Amino acid sequence: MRRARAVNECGEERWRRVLVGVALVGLVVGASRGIAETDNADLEPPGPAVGALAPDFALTPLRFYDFRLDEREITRQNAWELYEPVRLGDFRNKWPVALVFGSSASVLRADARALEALHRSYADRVQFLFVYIREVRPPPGAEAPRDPETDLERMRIANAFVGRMGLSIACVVDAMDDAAMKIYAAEPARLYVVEKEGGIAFASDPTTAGLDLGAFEAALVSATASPR
Amino acid sequence: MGALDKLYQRYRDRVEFLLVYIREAHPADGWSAQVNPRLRYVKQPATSTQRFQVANSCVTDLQISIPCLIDSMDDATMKAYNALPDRLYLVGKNGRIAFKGRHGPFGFKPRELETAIEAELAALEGAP
Repeated sequence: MRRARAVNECGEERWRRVLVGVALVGLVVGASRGIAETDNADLEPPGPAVGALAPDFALTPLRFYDFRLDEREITRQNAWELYEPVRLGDFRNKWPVALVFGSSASVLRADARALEALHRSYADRVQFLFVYIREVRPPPGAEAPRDPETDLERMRIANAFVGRMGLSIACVVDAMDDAAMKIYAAEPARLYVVEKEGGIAFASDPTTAGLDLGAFEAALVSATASPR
Repeated sequence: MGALDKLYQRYRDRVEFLLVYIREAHPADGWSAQVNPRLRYVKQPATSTQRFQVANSCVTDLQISIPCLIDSMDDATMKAYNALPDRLYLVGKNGRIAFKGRHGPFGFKPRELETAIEAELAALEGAP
């Protein structure tokens, strides 16, 4: 009996082990499916999706008077309002906004001329904002501009880049915590069109290969076609 | 600034021009009459980035092509050159002051600077 009980106990123990083994396999399968689902989710670029309300940000402009916050041709902010950051939400219900995220080492360099041409074509109907973000991390061994360490240094690099590229697009500079870049998942370069009511009308993929200016312009056409 | 820019275009291949942006002489929140409605009065920049913004607007709006440097927030350069509200200097190739203009606005005379530049260049050409 004792032996039989021992055999039975042995059998129970084996089943218990088998069950534990099955449970573990189940956990592993579940975890791997979870990972696979996360991978699938990653195929969609993060950042605000088309149709969502554009997340607000308030950033320092490179210089004043480039921004059109009312129906006048150029806003003449009074002196006491100077140094206020430029807030994306301030354009809501006034103008569609074309957001251009990039840095001096990004693909923007190659597409600057085409972007400037688009800006000139739509400047009377769309507020363009170039959001200068942190410099692209170069691959190991490659030469690239040093990432700015202070907000002033970041402004200097942004200003030099805008001047060198001949961009007349109003420029705001992302904060040192890279808040706007992160919320828009914009590194290394990315385009958005925000419709007048504040919703995302177009979001390109973040790119190192080249900006999708064709789709960007189509979105601009559609954003400006809607009745104001 | 138009006269200075003309000087810059004329002599830029022989003289290094530097525009040093210093603190605002008549800020909106300081000693400012604000009598000229065509001028934009800005608040005194409180941080280096604000000073950068104002300097940037200044050179852009006034279409100044002279390379611009920005004084530090302790106004070290402005103090060393006693330059408020504006002042012209010419530094010789040997590093010594060759010309010191009077304070602006009444003493700010680009023509005097031009005369000094001509004299300095002539002296350099005559030197062995």
